[in-house]
Amino acid sequence: MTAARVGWILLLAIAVTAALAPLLAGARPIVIVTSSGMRLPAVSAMLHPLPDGRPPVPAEPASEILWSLDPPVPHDPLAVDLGQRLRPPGQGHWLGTDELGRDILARLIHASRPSLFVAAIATLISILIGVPLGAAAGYDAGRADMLLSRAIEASLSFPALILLLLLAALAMDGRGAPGADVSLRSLMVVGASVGVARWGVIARYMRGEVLRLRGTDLALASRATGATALRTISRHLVPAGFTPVAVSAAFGAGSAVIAEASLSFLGMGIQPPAPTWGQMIAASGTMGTRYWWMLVFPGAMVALTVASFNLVAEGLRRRASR
Amino acid sequence: MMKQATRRPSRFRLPDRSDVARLRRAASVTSSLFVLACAALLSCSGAGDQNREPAATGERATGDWLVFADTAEPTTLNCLRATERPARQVCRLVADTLIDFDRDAKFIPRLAGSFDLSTDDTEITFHLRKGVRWHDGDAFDAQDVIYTVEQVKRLDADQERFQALFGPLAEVTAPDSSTIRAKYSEPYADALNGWREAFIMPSHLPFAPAEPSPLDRSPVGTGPFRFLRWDAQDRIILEANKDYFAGRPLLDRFVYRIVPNLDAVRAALQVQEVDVAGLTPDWVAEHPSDDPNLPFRVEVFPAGMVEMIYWNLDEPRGLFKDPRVRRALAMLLDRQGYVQSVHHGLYGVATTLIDPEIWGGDPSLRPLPYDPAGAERLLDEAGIVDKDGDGIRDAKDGPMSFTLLYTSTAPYQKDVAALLERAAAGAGVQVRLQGLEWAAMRPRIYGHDFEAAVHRWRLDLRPDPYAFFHSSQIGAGQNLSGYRSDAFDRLAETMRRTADPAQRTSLLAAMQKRLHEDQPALFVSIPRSVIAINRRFRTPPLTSAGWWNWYPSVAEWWVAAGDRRYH
Amino acid sequence: MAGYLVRRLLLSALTLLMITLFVYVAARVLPGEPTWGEEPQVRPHVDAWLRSVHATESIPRGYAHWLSGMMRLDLGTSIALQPGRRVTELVGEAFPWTLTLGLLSFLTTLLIALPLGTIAAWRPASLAARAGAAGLYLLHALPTFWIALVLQDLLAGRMGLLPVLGTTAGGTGVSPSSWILPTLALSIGSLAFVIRYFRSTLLDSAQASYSRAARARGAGDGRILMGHALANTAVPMISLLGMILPGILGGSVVIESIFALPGLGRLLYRAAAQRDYPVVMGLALLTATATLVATLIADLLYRVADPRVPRAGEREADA
Repeated sequence: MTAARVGWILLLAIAVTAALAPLLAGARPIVIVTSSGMRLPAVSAMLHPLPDGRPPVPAEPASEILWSLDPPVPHDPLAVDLGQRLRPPGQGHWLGTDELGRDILARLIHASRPSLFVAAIATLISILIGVPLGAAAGYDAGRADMLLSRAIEASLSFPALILLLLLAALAMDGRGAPGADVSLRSLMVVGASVGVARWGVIARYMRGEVLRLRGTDLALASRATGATALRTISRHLVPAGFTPVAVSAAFGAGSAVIAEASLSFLGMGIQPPAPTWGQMIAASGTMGTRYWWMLVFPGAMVALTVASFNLVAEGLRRRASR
Repeated sequence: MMKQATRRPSRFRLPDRSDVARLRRAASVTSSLFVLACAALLSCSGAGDQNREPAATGERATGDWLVFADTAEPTTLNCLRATERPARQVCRLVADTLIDFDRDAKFIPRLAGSFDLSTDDTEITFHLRKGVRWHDGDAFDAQDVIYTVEQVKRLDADQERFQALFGPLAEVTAPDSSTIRAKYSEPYADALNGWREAFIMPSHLPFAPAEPSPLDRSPVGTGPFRFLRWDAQDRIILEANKDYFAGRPLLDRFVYRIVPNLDAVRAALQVQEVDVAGLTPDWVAEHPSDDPNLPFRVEVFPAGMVEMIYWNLDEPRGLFKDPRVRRALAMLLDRQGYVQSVHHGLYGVATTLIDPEIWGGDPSLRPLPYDPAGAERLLDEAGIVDKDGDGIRDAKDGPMSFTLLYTSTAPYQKDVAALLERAAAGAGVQVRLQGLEWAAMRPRIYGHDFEAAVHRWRLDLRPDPYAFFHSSQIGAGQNLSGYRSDAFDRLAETMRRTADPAQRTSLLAAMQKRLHEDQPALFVSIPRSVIAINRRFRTPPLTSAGWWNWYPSVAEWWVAAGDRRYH
Repeated sequence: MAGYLVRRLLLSALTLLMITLFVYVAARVLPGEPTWGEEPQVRPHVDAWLRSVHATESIPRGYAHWLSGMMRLDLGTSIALQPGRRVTELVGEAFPWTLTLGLLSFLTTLLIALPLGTIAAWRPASLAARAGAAGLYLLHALPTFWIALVLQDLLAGRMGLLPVLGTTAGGTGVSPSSWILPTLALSIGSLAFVIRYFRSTLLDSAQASYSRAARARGAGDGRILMGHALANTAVPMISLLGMILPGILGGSVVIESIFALPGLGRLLYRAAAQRDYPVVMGLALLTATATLVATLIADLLYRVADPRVPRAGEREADA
């Protein structure tokens, strides 16, 4: 089993966990069968990107329920239970509870969603900005290339976390129309910021590839058939040179997860009540690290996720260099 | 060793033993050097001192330092301009006021050797001490007091600060260089309070209120400690004022360290890098204060604090206008459970903003019960019901949904906010949480640009609800709710003019009853101060008055010669 | 060479211009309505900042005016952290701490990575190297602040081996031992990258033509490694600093907060949290400029030392 395969399996496992989070952990049953039919309460919760925190509203009294299936971790990630504060891992709470009595395992599972969302949004944005600009720079031989290269260099000069702090400080202040979802908005801001911070890396690789392929037969043949430069670039050069970009994007997804965790640790990331791994680590910091389960498990999840992204990226790179 | 004659593939391999050995040596030498370097540095470290029991006897003599840790750094040390706690803590040591509180909350002389009130409470005469010197050598006299009052007037265009400190103060005169006469335009029973708050500034170092001044970074006062140095973001060092009129402090230095991370503070206390700092109730529960392994003892004081959730009564959608809604929201929160579990019973449940056990707060006033069913009934009664079936109740202008602000760095505000969010969700009220750092939070709440906000106040020993809920304090004052009640206003104004303690108590009780019924804010809990003090310090009996009023307390702390850590 | 130098400097100046443009546009476009309170003491500073950023003018015009202000190295005054104090003063006070932390951490990274990278290059397919690589992956995947918290708690809080905080109460506030934990925590962040970098550079050098020539002369692999390969990694080490400098600056934000070091990272964090825009802008500009300069110097030195690098006029595959 190669390292890359391990990476893919891990990544798949985490993605599935994120997708199925309400089915794995939550207070809503997965299936309720009554005399009048079947309902799937947890499934509808799957469509909300973040736990919406509304307690389940039973539509029928318990006596009418013939059979129901609860998620394996029967705790709502947002449910506060003051009597169960700071319990170490054990009965009832397999990974312990946090400072408000919330189940750590449930929060851990649901926290995979914002983290993966941020990674996805960030990667998407960095590709959307980086690929066209990088390709244009690589194809052009003159002033446009020089200017775009300067822009790439400029964006790479900002240390990532510093750029993120700059953007977060400027963009996030808890405003919005009444009823705006603060958690969701902060998630978008964080994802976009991380994407903007990374476009330069993607662009640089794309530029390198397009530059290399520009003089090859692939490009010449395409031009010879009368294709425009745009068509040549988008149809042929970019796909041909996409592998280093994909590798970089995969690495970038991993660093996006760490960036989100760092921002949450500093209190400037995704806002509560949506749980994120960074928030959970931050909470352990103020509670005192003697509650080790609050520190270890979220840290492990971040490490696993990032490692899986890195392994996948390494695998792609190795395959490309063969 | 035989070298192979054929060409090996260029993949790097290492067959030669002597080269292997050399390489290994090189690698191990580098690593060993690194380890040795670490060991050398470690042996220089002062950490890991054994916890010693303080010597049983010792002469009361001068020496040693006190290292105090706080998470916040003052923005300025100009004692005239400073309003925030970190700055005022330092100012209490560096600057003086004319009078002060003693441990029983009675007014005692400080810069003023004695003072007399006129029988109608409209005039105070202060007899200033003679021979007091500023830290830079200049003599202190009545001119400094007059200058200070003038400066307070000039601080802001509407004289809000002046009003808050001095009320109806009409005129301050100096019949001679050591007498001050303060005349009020009407009887003002709280007049002395203001003179206890106002730090006297040196008139020989004038500055314009809107301009930066050297006094911002290096204050000059008459106090028991003299300012020595401020290392940005790191620490403020004060040293004992040997010429202090009340006798020099027994400690040589007071070091105010800025440590942003609570956990680091705790760890630092344990290894004695920090001597005095605030702790959280979790600590007290886990480590009984008589645990001999800890180098510090833990003291719990009433602190005059109150934790509350403000409702913005002027909020455009009018969500909080109906008092039934506010009462319902209060009944949704299990404050007793919160206080028992999160704070291990060390905090009290609040009825209104005054601690019911301490200051003539009315113990007969019961907090609103924790009654979610009753709360839901109240909401139904007020017409806030779920009209569109989305699970969220609807008010007149839209869903019953609001954003709750809290200070992200404050230890328990996040918990209070999360609790309300959960409790409200159970009743069909949607609460969105937003944590902001204090300096982003401050303009929002003072600018009334919020819907609901968690906030803490630290009240004085003689609390005056006027400042918090009188309708005149809405603009830039502390009436953050925008609460307007004629009945309350009248009571508060009357109390300001009343000196008789019995009358004051009954007025205070009436005001609290008013607040309790109207619920302009959700009064959540009464926090107490949990302070860790390194065992080597001998302190006078500490009470709440002695605690949050550093002087006269700290100036009397001392350490026996055998226990001193700093020289 | 001189032509190359001039061209490179001009290009970097253009990049610098873009950096300033980005920061300015972000500061103009992103914040909502100024939300600062009406406090009489802060308001004048806020107004001063709005003026200095030419908030009333259009963005292009405002940028031009602002830039001419920047030429005078005037970064404005703080509006939240220490209202009224110049940003340059605040930065000046914090800078030595971050500089020290950064240098110490860079040296530590080298000290640890060099032997480890050598060993990894020495037997790349061995079990030890693979296990080490896996361990490195995991270490690299852990957030820096997590590692710092664990180190602080274990080594300082519980075992008492090292000081908890980065400064001391007494004396000058500096003690050698209090630097160990922050330096270690910060250097771990770049460790994985640098080890792999050394490993690959050493491997490349070992396979390069001069190594083959040496091998043909009968030199053992060990001598090649020690004599030639290591010598050749000295040059890339300089460019290494340029490569990991952003990581060090970024990492210092969390490390300085955890260990209470009064450096630039902590200043930036507090400024961002308190929306002290002048300080945030100033620090963003400074760090970006520093990284740019470091990369430029590293690049120039690299090309001076290694004559095989493409000259001016040739398009490099890596701009």
